[in-house]
Amino acid sequence: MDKNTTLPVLGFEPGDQLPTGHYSGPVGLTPGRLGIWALIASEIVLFAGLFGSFILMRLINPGWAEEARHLNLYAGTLNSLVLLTSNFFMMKSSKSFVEDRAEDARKFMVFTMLAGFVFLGIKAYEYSGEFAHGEFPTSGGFWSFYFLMTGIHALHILGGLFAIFLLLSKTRHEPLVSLASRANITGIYWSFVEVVWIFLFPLLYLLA
Amino acid sequence: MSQDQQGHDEHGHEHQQSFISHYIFSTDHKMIGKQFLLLSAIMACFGGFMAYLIRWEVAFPNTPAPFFGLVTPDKFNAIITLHGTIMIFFVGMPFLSAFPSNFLVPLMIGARDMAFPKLNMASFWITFVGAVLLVSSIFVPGGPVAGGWVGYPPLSASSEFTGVKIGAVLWILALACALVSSSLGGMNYLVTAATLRAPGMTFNRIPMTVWFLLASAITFFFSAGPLIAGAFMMLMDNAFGTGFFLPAKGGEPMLWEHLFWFFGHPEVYVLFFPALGFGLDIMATFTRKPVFGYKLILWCTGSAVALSYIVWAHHMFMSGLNPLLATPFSITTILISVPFAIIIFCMFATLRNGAIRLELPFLWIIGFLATFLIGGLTGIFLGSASADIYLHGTYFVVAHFHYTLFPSVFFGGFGAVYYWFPKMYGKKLNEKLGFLHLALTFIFFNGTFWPLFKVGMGGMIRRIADPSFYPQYHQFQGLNAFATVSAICLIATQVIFLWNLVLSLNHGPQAEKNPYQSNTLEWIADSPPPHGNWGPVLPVVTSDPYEYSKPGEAKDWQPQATNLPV
Repeated sequence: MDKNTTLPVLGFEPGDQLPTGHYSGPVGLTPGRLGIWALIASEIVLFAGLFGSFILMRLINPGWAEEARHLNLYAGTLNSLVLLTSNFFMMKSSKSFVEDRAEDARKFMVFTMLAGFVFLGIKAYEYSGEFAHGEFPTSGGFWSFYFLMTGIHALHILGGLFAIFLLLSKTRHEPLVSLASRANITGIYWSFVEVVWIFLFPLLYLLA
Repeated sequence: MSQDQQGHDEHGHEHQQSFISHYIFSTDHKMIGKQFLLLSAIMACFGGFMAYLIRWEVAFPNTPAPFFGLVTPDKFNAIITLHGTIMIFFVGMPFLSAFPSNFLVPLMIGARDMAFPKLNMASFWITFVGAVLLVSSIFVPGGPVAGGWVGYPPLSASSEFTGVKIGAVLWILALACALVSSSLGGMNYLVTAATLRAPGMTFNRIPMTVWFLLASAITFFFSAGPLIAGAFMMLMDNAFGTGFFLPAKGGEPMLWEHLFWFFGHPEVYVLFFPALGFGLDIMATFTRKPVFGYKLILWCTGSAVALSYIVWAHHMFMSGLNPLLATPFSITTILISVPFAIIIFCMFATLRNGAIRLELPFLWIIGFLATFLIGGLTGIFLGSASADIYLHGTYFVVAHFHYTLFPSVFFGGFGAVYYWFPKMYGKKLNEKLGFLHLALTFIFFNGTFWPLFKVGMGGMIRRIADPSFYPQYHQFQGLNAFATVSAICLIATQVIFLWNLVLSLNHGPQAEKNPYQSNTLEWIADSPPPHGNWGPVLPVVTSDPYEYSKPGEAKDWQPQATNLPV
C-alpha cells in the first residue's frame, strides 16, 4: 500500500494494517479484470437480446429450417475449428507473458491474428456464396437474422483483432511482465468472442 | 494501486494543463461531470422549447406559436418524438446519472479519479456526437423522425409510412450513441467504486448517493443490451430495407416493443435511483441524523433492481400481448412498489426527531418526495391491467410519467446541484433566488400536469395534434389552456436558475470547504477539488457516513476521515 497508511489514524496504531477497499496483487480484482467482466456482462445481454429474438422468431416460423439448409455447413464447421485454434494460440501467448518469454508471446499473438483473419476470410467466402445464390439480408427473416448476427459477431472479431494488435505493438516498448495483466484481459475478451460463436453456430447452422 | 493514481500522487497540485486538455478533452472526472452538466443544460433548452410547442398546439390549435409559427401535424409528430428522446437520453441520463456519477463517485469514495479516465472522456464525447446527430436530424431532407420516442414499428421501421428516412437513421444512431456511452460510463462507475475506494471505505461505509448511482448504472447496464440489438435491427430495416419489424416482410412489430420496454422500464429506475440517493444524503445532512435503515434500504434497492427486469410488459397491455400474461406482469408491477414504498418510509423515518434545517437542497428534496409520490401512486393504477386498458394512451399516462420523471430529474437533480454547487465551483448560489426557483417550479409543475390527470381520465388521447378536430375533446379546452399557461411559466421559471448561476459564479460569496458540516468525504476536499482531489495523502476512512448527533459528543457531526483537515 502507499505511504499514508503509516500515518497516525484514530483508532489504529502506527504500522497497523488499515482496513482497505483497494484490491491488489496477482489474483486480486484489478480494475482491468473487473472492467472486462463488466464489459462482457453487458455484451452477453446484447447477444441474449439477439439470440432470444432469433429463437422466438424461429419458433413461429418453421419454414426457416428449410432456409437454414442453404448455409454452408462445411465452411461453418471449419470456421468453428479455426476460431477454437486461435483461442488456443491466444491462451499460449497469454501464458508466455506471465513466464516472460517474449518470442513466444509475439509468435502466438501473430498466430492468433492469422487465425482470426482466416475466420473472417472464410466468412467472406460464405457471404459471397450466399450473395451468388441471391440470398441477401432483405431475402426474408432468416437471412436478415443470419447476416445481422454473423455481422455483429464479425465486428467483435475485428475489435478483438485490433486489441491484440495494440498489445502486440506494445510489446516492442514495454517489458512483458507489466503487460501480463493486459494480455490476460485481451485473452478473456477473445475467449468471449469465441463463446459467442459457439452459441451462434448451432443456432444458425445446425438447427435445420 | 494503479499507475495512474501514483502519477497523481507525484504531481500533486503543480499539475498544469493547456486550455484544450483542461476544458475540452479532459480526463479529469470533475471536468467530465461538468461537461455532462453543460450538455444536459443545452439539450434541456431544446427539449423545453419543444415542450412549449407541444403544449401550445394542444391548447391553442391552429394558431401560430410565438417564436416558431404554426405547429402543423407533421411537425407536431416530430416535436413530440424529439422531446421524448432528448429529455430521456440527453437530459435525464447526463444530468442524473453521468454528471453526478462522474463528479461524486470518486470524491465520495476517496479516489483520485475514475478507474478508466480515457474511457470516461470517450463516453462524454460519444454522448456529444449522439446529441449532435439528433439535433442535426432537424435539418436533413425529410425532417426528423416522427414515430414517437418509443419508435413503434411498422411506423418507425420504413420510410414509406412517414416519409422520413435520413432522420430515422440519425435518430437510431443518436440513440445508439447514448446507450453505448451510458454503458461504458456505468462500467466505469462500477469498477471505480469496486476497486478504488480509499483505505477504510468498506461496503457499509459507502454513502447512499454512491450506492444509488451504482444501482442506476447496474440497472442500465443489464437492460440496454436488448435495445442495442433492437437498434441494430431497426437500423437495418430503415437503411437497408430488411423486415425485422415489418409484418409485410414476415417481421414482427411486437418484437421491438419487447426489446424496447425491456430496456424502457428499467430506464425509469435508472433516472429515479440517483434522485433517491441524493435525497437520502441531503436528508441526513439537514436532519443531523443517520439515514434510517441503511441496510434495509440497500436490500430494497437490490430487490427493486431485480424486479425492474420483469415488469416491462405492463407497457404493452394493449399491444396484442396474450391476456394471460397481463396478470403476472400486473403482479410484478405492483410488487415493485413495495421496496420503493419501504425506501420512502425510511426517508420519512429519517425526518423523525431530526434537528431539521430547512435549507434549500433539503426543500428541493421535500418537493421531490411530495410530487414523486403522486407519480408513484398513479403508477399503481396503470400497472393493473384492468385500469390500464381504459387509461392507456391517454393524457393520464402523460401526467403519470411526468410526475415520476420530472420530480426525479428536476427536483432531485436541482437538489443535488444546489447541494454540491459549492463543491463544484467554490461559490455559493444565491439562496433567495434559489427559493424563488423552487417555489415557482413546484407551483407551475403541478399546475401543468395535475389538470392532465383529469383530461386523461376524461378520455383524451395523447399525441393528437389538433384536438379541435374532435368534438368530444372541446370540453377539455379550458384545462388544456391552463396546463399550457402553467407549462410556459414553468419553462420561464428556469431562467431564474440560469440567472442565479451567472450571478453566483461571478459575484457569489466564496464557499468554504464544508458549508453544511457534512460527514462524507467530498467535503474534505478543497472547493473546488484540485486535480487528483486529495493532495499527497489519501483520506483514511474511520467511520460511517452518517454519524450525526452522536450522544456525548461536543459537535453533532463526525467526518468520515480524520487524517485530513476538514
